[in-house]
Parts: sequence; C-alpha cells; structure tokens
Amino acid sequence: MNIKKNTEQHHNLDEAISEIESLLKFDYSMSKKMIAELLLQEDEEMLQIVAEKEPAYDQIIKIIEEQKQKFDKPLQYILAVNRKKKVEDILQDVVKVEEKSISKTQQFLDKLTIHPITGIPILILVLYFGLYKFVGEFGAGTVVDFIEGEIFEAHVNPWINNIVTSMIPYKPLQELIALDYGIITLGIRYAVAIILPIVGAFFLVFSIIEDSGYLPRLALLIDRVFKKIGLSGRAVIPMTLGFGCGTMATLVTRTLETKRERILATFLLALAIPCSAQLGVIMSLLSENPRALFIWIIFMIFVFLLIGYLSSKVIPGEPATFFMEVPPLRLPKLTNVLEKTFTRMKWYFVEIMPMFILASVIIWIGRMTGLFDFLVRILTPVMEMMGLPGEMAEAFIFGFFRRDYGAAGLYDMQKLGTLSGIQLVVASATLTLFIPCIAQLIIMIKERGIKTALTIVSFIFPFAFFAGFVLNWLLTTLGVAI
Amino acid sequence: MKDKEILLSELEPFRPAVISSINLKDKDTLKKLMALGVLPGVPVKVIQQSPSYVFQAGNTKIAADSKIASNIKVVEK
Repeated sequence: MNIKKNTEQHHNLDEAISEIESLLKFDYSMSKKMIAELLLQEDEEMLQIVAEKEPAYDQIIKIIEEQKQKFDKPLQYILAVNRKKKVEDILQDVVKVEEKSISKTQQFLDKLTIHPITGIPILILVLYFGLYKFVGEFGAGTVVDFIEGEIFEAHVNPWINNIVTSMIPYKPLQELIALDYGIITLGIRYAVAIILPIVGAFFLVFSIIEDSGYLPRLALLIDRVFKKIGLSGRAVIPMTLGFGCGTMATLVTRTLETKRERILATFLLALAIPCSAQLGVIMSLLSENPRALFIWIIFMIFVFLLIGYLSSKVIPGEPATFFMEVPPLRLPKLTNVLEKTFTRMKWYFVEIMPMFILASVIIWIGRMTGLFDFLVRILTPVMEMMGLPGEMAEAFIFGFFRRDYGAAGLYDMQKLGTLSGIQLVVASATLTLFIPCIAQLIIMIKERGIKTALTIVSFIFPFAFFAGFVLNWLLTTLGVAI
Repeated sequence: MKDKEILLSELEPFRPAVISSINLKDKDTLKKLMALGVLPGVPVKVIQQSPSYVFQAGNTKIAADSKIASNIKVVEK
C-alpha cells in the first residue's frame, strides 16, 4: 500500500528536488541534485552548510517541510525506496544473477554458531581454549615463567642490582632504579615479563576471533542477556575486548548506539571485567585451586549481572535496540591476524611502558615521603575487615596505578604461600572490582566526561571493599572449605 | 490472502517473503538498517527466531532483536 502511495507522489518529490536545485546558488563541489536530495533526507552537515551559504534557506526549508507533510514516513526512507527502484530498473536488463552455492561445511558451521543449543557450548569452547588454555595457561603461565624466571630473575635483576649498588653510593637512588621497587627491576620487569606476554596472547586470540566473523554471532546469542543489564548484543565487542585491555575497550564503547549504553558499558568495564593482565595473574593465583577459581568466576558474573541490572534501572533513557550484520564465517588470514596483533601490542606497549615507569616513580616518591606508608596504614584495617592480611594493602595501592600491577603484587605474595583459599578468592574478587588502572581512568574521563567518570569511580571505590567484605563473611559463615 | 502484510517477527522460518514497509520511529536505526539493504521490495527470509532474530534480506544476513523484527512488515511470496 505504501509503495503505491509513494509512487503517486513521486512526481512531487522530483519537482521538489528540482525546485531546491534552482534555489541553490553557492558553488558546491558536487552536483546540486545530490545536495537537494541530502537536504530532503535532513542530512545535518548539509543543512548547516546551506544555512550558512544560501540566501534562500528559509524557502528551501519550506519546500522540505511541505514534502515531509505529504508522507507518513521519513523522506530518507521514501528516497531510498525510489533509489532502489531505479537501480532495479537499470539492473533488470543487464545483470543476470546466478545462485552461488556456499560449501556445505560452511553452511553447517554457520548454523551451529548461531543456534542457541549448539552456539552456547561453542562459546564455552572458544572461551576455554582461547582464553583459559591459550591466554591463561600458555601466555600467563609458560611464557611468563620463562621471561620472568629465566630472563629477569635469573639474569637481568641480579645484574642490574649489582651494577646499581656498586656504581651508585646513594641508597634512595639505588631504589629508584633497582632493588625491590625500582624502575627496571619492578616497572620494566612487570611490563615486559608479566603483562606483555599475557596481553600479546589475548590480542592474538581476539584477532583470530574477530577475523573469523564470530563476534556478531556471539552478539546475537547474548543480546537477550545483555538487554537485562541495559546493553545490546553489540556491546559484546567492547566487553570481550575488555578481557584484553579495559583501556582499549573503553575507547571502543564509542561504537555503541546510545549514550546510555556507552555509560553502562564504561561502568561495567571498570567494575567487573578483569583485563588480561589481571586475568592472567588471577588465573595463575587460583589455577591450583579449582574451587577458588570457580567461586571467583561465579561471584564476578553475579556482580556483573546484578550491578548491571540495577544500574540499567537507575540510568535514564531508552532501552537499547539491537541489529547487526552477520558476515559469513571465514578462515582468518594469518598475515592480517599477525599484523593486527602486532599493531595492538605496539599500541599497548607504547601506552603501558610510560605508565609502569611512572607508577614505579610514584611508588618511589610515596615511599620516600612516607605518603605510601600512610595510605597503606589507612587501608590496612580495611583489608583486615575483609579477612585479608594487612600487607595486602600494598597490592591495592599498586593497583591504583595499574590494576594489573596490583594483581602482579598479589602474585608475589601468593608465591610466598601466605594466603589461604578464602583470602585468595576475596583478594582476587576485590582487586577485579577495584578501581581501574590509571590509563583506563584517563580514557574514562576523556570519553565520558569528568562528571560521569567521577561518579563511576566514587561508586566503585567503596563497593569493591564492601563486596569483598560480604564475600569473606559469606564464605566464612557458610564454612566453605577452599 | 496472498497479499496480506504480516510482521517479520510473525513470518515462519524459511518462508520466502518480500519486505513491504519499515515502521521504525528512530531515524538513526532506520537509516542504518537501510544502509544494510533492508528496504521495501527486498526479498527476505527468516532463518532463526531465538535467541535473536536472524534473517536474510537480499544478500545480507542480519541479526536483530524483536523490537526491530516487529517493526518490519513483509508480504509472503
């Protein structure tokens, strides 16, 4: 019915286009017909230019308004339908369409990945092998052990410590460069030996998943769950990327449709999504203790869904809509995957190195001036309230400078074997919830504005400790043996 | 009843149809859908209805929620 009505009035629309064309006086670098069509489609950029350049602007707007009144649909839509009709008329006589057959295997895989019954087990397999096995065990385990143990601890650190202590007579300066918290022995060691292999492994997996066309399938499977927390399936891309690097993921929330979704995604990334550096360290902390790992996972999912659900009730705005093109599944091209991984690692390294060095310097200043001790003292009773050893305050202070840095500090403590199962779970959960690293905070302020960023931060701070407290109380009261 | 308009969300999977109109209020979403080739006159086929709608419009496969699927009208072929 609509189509008929549109073609009847088609004549008028064409007339309107030529009328606007004749009113345009300014010299544009494209055809006036094109500009007239853009104006009718209410292209904001073009409207602004025309408002500035055209004396007959009011008259043009009148014509547009007249046309808008005639249709029950946006002109954009009407014009697109007309355009399509013209294209079809032209193509009809000159193009022959042949049905291209897609290989059976591809069709089969295609179906499996989008069907809920087969899609969810596939998702779990992808997460298990991609994240747990490859990033967790290989990246955070094998590679980190090698670079950390064989290279840094066995060779680099003793060598640097030796040079520094014999060349520099001044103790504070020695500590700035080497020893326990020095720029090289702590900052660069963490960046190169712990974080880089984990992030690199994650980016490799992510690039493969991205290039295979799997992400939109994941989005459509998860859309309904995400709707409950105010997000659409599309948000699965920044959320998944958040398991690699929260800073990069916060930047990617730009691709979401509404401001509301962007705020919610930024918030949940900061709160409940552990980045690969944290994930790697936490997994190696908890991997010998599957029950602890399991409780941590359940707790994080619970917090993610609960807080997401509650905040979607609080933050005003329209609920998200979801649609996405589903590309065919493709075998990723090795060169593309490697190039993407390399570019992301480079970006990460350039961004992370100065932060680690900065964090080392700040920790050094904090230690020299006693400010650090002061903060640790304030935080010590908070730690004890959560049933954690007071010394853990240090890891949390580190965590403020970089979330992963804090996790790595925790890792050092665990190696000493001083933590119980419950303590490991509570510490891991609190640290995951705790304030994002300084780089992510900067991006949050840049992308969402200082007000939103501060609101998010002032929620996360007390909430992380509160959740840790509740979790510890629950586990102790229920007498859970971990 | 061949020419009866029904919603895309009501169309049975794998039954060929043609899009007859799109009734979305949100202009941005409408624009983006049109850019993906979801337009009146385009042949359409629903592939799956849950957990999200998946449909083939022309040469493009699109996933969408029920809000979008219930704002696209189609006529069965």
